[in-house]
Amino acid sequence: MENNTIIKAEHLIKKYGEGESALLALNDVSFEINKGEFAAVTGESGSGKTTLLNALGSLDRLTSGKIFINGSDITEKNDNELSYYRRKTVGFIFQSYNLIPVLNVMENILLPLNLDSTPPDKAFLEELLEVTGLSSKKNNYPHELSGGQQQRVSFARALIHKPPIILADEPTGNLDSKNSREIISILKNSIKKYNQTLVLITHDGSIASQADRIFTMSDGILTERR
Amino acid sequence: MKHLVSLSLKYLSRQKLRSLLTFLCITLSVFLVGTCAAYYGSTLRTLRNQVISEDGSWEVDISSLLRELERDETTEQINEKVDIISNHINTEESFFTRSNSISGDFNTEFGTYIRFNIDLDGRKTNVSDLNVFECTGDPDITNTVYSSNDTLTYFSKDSKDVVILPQWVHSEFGYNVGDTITLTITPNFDTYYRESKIYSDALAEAAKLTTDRVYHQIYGVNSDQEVEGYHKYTSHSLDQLVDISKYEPDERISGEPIAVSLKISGFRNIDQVNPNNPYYRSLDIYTSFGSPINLSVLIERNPDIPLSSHNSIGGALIVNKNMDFDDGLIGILESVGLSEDDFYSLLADERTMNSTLLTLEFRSAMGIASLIPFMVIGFVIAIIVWAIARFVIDNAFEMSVQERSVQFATLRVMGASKAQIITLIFTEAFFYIITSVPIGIAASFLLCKKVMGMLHNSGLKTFEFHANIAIAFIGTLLCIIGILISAYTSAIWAARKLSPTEAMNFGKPRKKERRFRKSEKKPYMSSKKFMTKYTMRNITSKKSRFIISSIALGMGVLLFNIFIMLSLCAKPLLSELDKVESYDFRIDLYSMEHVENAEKAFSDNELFSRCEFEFTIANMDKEETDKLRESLNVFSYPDFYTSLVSINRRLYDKYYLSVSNIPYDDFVASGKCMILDPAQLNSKGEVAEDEASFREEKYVPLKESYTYQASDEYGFEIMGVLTTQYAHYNTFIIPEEIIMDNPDLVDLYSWSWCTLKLTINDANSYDKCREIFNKFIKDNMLNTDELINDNFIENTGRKSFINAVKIIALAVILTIWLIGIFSMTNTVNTSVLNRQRELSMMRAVGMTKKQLYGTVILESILFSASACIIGTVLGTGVMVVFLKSLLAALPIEVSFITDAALTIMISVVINLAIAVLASLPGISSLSKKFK
Repeated sequence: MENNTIIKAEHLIKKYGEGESALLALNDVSFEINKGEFAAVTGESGSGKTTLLNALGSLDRLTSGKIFINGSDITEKNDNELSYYRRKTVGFIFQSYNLIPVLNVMENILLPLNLDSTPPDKAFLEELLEVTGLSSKKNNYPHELSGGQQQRVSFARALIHKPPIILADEPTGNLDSKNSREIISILKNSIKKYNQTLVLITHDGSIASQADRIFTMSDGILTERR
Repeated sequence: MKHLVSLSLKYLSRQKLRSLLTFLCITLSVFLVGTCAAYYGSTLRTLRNQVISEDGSWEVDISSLLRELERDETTEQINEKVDIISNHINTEESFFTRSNSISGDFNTEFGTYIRFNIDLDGRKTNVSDLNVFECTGDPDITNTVYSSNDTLTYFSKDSKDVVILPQWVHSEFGYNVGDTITLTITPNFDTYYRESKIYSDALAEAAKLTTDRVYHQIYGVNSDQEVEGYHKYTSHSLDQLVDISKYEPDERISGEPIAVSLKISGFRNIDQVNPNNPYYRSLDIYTSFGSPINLSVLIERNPDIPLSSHNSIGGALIVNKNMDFDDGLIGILESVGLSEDDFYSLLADERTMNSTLLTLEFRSAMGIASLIPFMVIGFVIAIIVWAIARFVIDNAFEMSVQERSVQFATLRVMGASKAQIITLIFTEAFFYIITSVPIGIAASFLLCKKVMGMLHNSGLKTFEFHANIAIAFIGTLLCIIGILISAYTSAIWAARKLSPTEAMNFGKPRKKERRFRKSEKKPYMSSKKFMTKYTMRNITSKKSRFIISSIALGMGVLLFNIFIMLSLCAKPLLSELDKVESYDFRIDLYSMEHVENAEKAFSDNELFSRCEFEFTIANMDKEETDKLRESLNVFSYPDFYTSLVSINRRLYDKYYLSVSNIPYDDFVASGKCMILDPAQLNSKGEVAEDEASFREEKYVPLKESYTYQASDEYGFEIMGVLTTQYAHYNTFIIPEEIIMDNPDLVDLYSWSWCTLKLTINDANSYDKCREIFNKFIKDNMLNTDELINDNFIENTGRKSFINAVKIIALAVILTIWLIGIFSMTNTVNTSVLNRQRELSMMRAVGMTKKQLYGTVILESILFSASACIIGTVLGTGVMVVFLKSLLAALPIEVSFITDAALTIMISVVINLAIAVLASLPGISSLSKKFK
């Protein structure tokens, strides 16, 4: 394994159900992604993109296969180790934002750090707020924000602890084109600045075209186009 | 950790409705458990008070043991052993008493009397009896079993040379505490010849002093009269009525005196005085153990005078609380030369041991074993209450956590460990533990305190609120355990979520393929049918939540039904209690003068709300009674008087009008009387074995006239036989106006009496009323021994008891009702919140607001209906098994099927109301969303 490889997946299989009606969401998927790379995954709905992302984020258990993150097999880790892995190594961004409604913008952004009892890098926090345009909204609650603003909060939350890997599941799916462009720009700047790896699921060809590598999922099989 | 706590608190403070509902559900559940604990503790204390008031606070009555010692040993030796027992290390507290009484036989028929002449330093009086009571020990543990009276305050464990004399020694002869008195006691045996003038003079004075009836009693009742069915009069002797020492007897035997010098330590507060003759009294002397007075010498010195002596010794003790009861007692016995065998042989009789007290203090294995059935019932009730509380708390937590399943999943995605998610929920649980538990427990105990206080203040002095620490602790612990279990199960459920996608679906993808039914035969249906089907699908898709909520509410319905059923069954019992003729004071008057005085004193007195005179004219002889019984086919007890009793309009309307259907005015106008027939007879006219089976209540007018000959001169015509359960045996009733209008009433009173019944207007003026009543008794020199009743405390106690029972039942029913509403609200509201997106979509495709609200209400009603069915099915089982047997033991007729049907009806209505009320917050939140 080369030192530059941050994600290595070997023969990933994820099967839902049993017998004839069993659904193979991941069918012997193997790939490697290097540090600092921006990888886009495209494919039709139900092709297994989210399953792959969940597997990389240790949100779901595989039927078989191994995932190495920085050379460490996360499929062998126990629940506590996986929690620590998610807390330290991964930043998640979802299409539906998934903000905590009882926490305001600032509290939502700081959530990963608070769960780890880690004090925030104040300068970085200010920078994030500025970059995401949330400086004036930091005391607002999620229901007081627009969809684009909520997604920016979820971006800030995913980046606040400077994770080496960012997993984004159709982050611009609910946004207009202007907001989408801005968000992707933020993400690209972040991974460039902090040498982060981004795995992004998208249906948007223009976003995918900005990636270093493009993968396509079809019926659980992953193929690299670029 | 700090951030997790902060996050929990933010949720609690910002999700106000959810937090409030959860708080209310938990608080009410705790209140229910706390109520159970509070009443258990207070009931135990009340039972203990009852036992102490009846038997005393002592644990062991060692009287039989002392009597055994007394048989072989001298008084000095006994005193020594009493000293050893009272000072023994195993003895916590003890009290000993010994009495020596001497009285003279009297014979009224032969006119013989024995009086004791008492010479107090030269001044003379006479008494009927001599009593010396020796006491030592702690008087706190004594009671009516021993000599509980005002003198006990003078005694303690270490008291020596105490001498307490009657009050009259101070008031009549001027002695004071600290004086030394020399008493010379001489027994006199006097005989009065029946035919002598002096005896006639004494009788004449008695006749003037008292009523004719009492005068009549001086002669006693001969055996022939007793056979004829007359009451046995309490024997009175002439010296009870007049100061017989004023009349020189025809013969006198003066006995040998004894003299004793005593230093007075105190006087009794009151003396028991015969109102007819204050000089008819006894000489009661209370001393500490080792009394200087030996009355047995009097008997030894006067063999010619028929004196009788009665001695008794008694004692009770409390064993040192720090040791085993049996071991402690055996140790005490061994110290006075007895063995372990004596413990079993002398103290084996249960009556000598205060076993109930020991049981209530959990110090008697046998006693505890005897309580097991009651403990099982209590335990079962506690388990049901706890199960209800558990289900409600569980439901509340589950709703709270389910609502946030996506949030917990997000936290897990952010890297929160299972332990952190559990910590979050336990923080909330801790919040409820420190808020709901103290409030619920405090509220339940305060309500219990209020109820027990009401009962106590109304005269039921043994009723006492007691916060039994152990029971309160167990109740609190059960509540905390219930909350922690609910929090834990909810936390585990929340922590297992990983993906928000899964969380949205309330679980992981199913391993087994979910089988859906094939498509409906008729995919097109009316909107109403669709809404019903849609609601049903929503409910069945969340089976576990539906089942848990239904069981939680069903248990509430069960308890609710039981209380409603009990209340319905108790209604006839309360009605029976209400029928009990209640009055606060009652006294029998035997002369017209007393009746007139009573009228003056009470008739127009505003302090009394009711002043009634019930005239009773006795009596019919056995022959006449038999004749009446045969001719009218009514039952009458041969040993009872047959009497004619006056009745007023109030009593007639209360007891008899509904049966006779003859208005009181018509009854008065008829100038006749009715004979009452007790209803507890079967159709054959025999006393029914089952007292609950009443004969049909009816009134049968007599076809042929029959005259009740009240006396040789007066007869009253009977108009009919009135059969009712409120009938008194062998009684005729006649309107009081008929008796009052009789010009020869005074003559009638020469052999009849009037019962005066008074009811106090305001309970607060009891003391004043009692004072007036006492004055009337004193002014008219009425006998206070047997003929006076003061029922005030009993009456107010009964009323308060009924009120307290109502309050308890109402509080429990209200609590269950509120729990039902909050729990249901929680469930329905959560269901609505969880489906907001879905409902938005439904609105988008054309669902009207009415349809939207309809589906929420329908869901609520379906929840309620399932709970109602579970509760009713279980409740019916409980009622059949438990209540029916319980109610069968009570002397009331219960229409079980009617009551059960009524209970179900009430339950259905209440559940429907709960369902509608519970759906309101859900509807409210929807209406805000879809303005």
